[in-house]
Amino acid sequence: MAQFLDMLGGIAAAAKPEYLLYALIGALLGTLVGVLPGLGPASAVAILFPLTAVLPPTGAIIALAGIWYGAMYGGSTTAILLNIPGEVSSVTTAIDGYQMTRQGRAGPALAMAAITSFLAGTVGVVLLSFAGPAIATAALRFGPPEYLALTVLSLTAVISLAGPKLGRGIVMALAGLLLAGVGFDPISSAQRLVFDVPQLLGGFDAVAIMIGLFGISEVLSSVGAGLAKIYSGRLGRLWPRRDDFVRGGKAGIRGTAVGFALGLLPGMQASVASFLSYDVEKRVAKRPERFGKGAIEGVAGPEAANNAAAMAGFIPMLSLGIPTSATTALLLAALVVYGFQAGPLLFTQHADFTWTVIGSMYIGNLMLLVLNLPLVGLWARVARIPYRVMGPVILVICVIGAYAIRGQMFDVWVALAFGVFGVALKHFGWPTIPFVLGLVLGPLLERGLRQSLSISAGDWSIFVTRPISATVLALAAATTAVTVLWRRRLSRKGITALEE
Amino acid sequence: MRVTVTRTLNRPSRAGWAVLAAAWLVGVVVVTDSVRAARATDDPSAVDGHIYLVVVAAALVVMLTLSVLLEGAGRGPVEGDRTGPAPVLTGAALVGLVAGYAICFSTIGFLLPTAVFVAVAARLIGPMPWWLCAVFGVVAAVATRLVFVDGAGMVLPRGVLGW
Repeated sequence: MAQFLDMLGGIAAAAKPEYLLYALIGALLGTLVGVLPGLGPASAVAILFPLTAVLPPTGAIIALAGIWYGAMYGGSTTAILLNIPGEVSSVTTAIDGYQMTRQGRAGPALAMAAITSFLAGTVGVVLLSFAGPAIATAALRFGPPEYLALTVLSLTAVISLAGPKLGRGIVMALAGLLLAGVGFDPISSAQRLVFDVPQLLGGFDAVAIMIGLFGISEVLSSVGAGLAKIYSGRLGRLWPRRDDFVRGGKAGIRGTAVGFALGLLPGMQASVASFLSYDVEKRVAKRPERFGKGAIEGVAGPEAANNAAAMAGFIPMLSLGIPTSATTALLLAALVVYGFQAGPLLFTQHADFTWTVIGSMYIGNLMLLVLNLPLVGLWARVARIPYRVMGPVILVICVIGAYAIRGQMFDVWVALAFGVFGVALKHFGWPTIPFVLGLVLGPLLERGLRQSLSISAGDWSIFVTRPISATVLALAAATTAVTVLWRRRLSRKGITALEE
Repeated sequence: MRVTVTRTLNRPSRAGWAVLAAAWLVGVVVVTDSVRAARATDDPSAVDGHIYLVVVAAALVVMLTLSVLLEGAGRGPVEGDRTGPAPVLTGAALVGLVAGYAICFSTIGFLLPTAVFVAVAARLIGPMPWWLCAVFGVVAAVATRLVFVDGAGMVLPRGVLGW
């Protein structure tokens, strides 16, 4: 009951005109960037982060959350209309959505995508409202060993799911952990790897690195890209038929369940949820041969799944301070920039802030539904703007953004260096997400490890003698074992995980 | 049909050797700096911090070496890479251009370098007449200044021109 009242209070607080404006601007800007090919939610949040720097902290986080779900929505619009998924989780939407467009049924596809996204997002926020505080309350009893175990679980899960080669995921996570160690030691405040460079005393700024990895590198990777052939037919009537509602609605419910359950797991990105949801829809369909030819379930299920997964990702991020994806890692870094420490105390020490942000998510999802359907034509035109126009502007925003975080040119150079690094990683097929999570989780992991060993006077058994820590570590080991076995099975079949 | 998978050591490519050399260099730098700092302090907690970094660096070097030897430095598709990499020369020129822009942006000021950068970058990325690039550069510079500096109140380097 108390949570219900908190939730209502959050919605009321988020309904203040200035917060409505921030949510609206965030959702629209997020959609604007999300429709651009290759730029997904993480890129949108990284690129648009500087614009939020001048807002009050609560407004900034509301705008960043709006940017996130706006970008997710934008990706599906261009997937359906242009067969250009704005981000990976929209790839499945493009399969049947674009076929519906070719059949003159773009309107129902877009409407169903928007409706199921809204419903899944709303269900996700409701569950976040109840599960978040409950988990946070339980986590108040966590000590350093439990936090270390959660960090290990998060990293192992991300590494396992990062790509076809396990070794590369481990290497990238270790590289992130090493980079996170630069600057002041989190326990003793000794300087490490500073080399008399004053800008390194505070360590590398995670946001500047992510602007490079997700903003600059995306532009550098896309400059040679041409747009695919664009279908310019009619949208058809917007409102879905009765049977579209029935079939799409059921798929949406299944997608929400799949997406939310998977979204709670570290490393399980929204894209994985949408792929699995598409698979579920094919399996439960009476006529699976309709898939790939314009089945509305192929649009509704994955769209619901990726939105529910995105919302579920907020639960571990807000209540435990553990990010599950690159975007939540970026939001976690943003919280730190604005003076908040995500974790169990967020719901008690900054309750007003937390509930206002959650309340804004209800409103933001509704805004997307109401505003974006009439703007579909505009988003389709934005997606057709060539990179020679968008690319330089995005690069300027990235440079300004990197500078604005701490007012240092050093961060601009860091962003540029990591932009080049990101291109190299992409070119050689090395995953970036374990690196980002290693970078963000590094201080938490180190603090958990060293404080635990300090409590136990150097006895490593502390991690397996405390029940929660032991359970979570066992889960991490099981995740790794299952992944290794799964990869071995796929290898025997002669296929890689990515192909699968 | 049953496919048997065997693991053999690969001879690294030039990229692989470069990655390995860079990783070992990083490892040596981390160990050297950490040992020096650990010797200079009496605080056991600080020593633990240096040991932690050495362990992470060692694990990184070992895993990277194994990864490159077993899997190669690689070239493979990754998420979001639907369109393929940009032509190398254009990409390299663009990186140089951004670097030049960053230097000018902090020394000259915002407007002029931004206009020139946007115009040249637009021309570099795709076919566009020079006059249109110039107009686009000026419009983009003024618009971003209006949004970020005048609208959002962001403080950017003033440079010698002061604008």
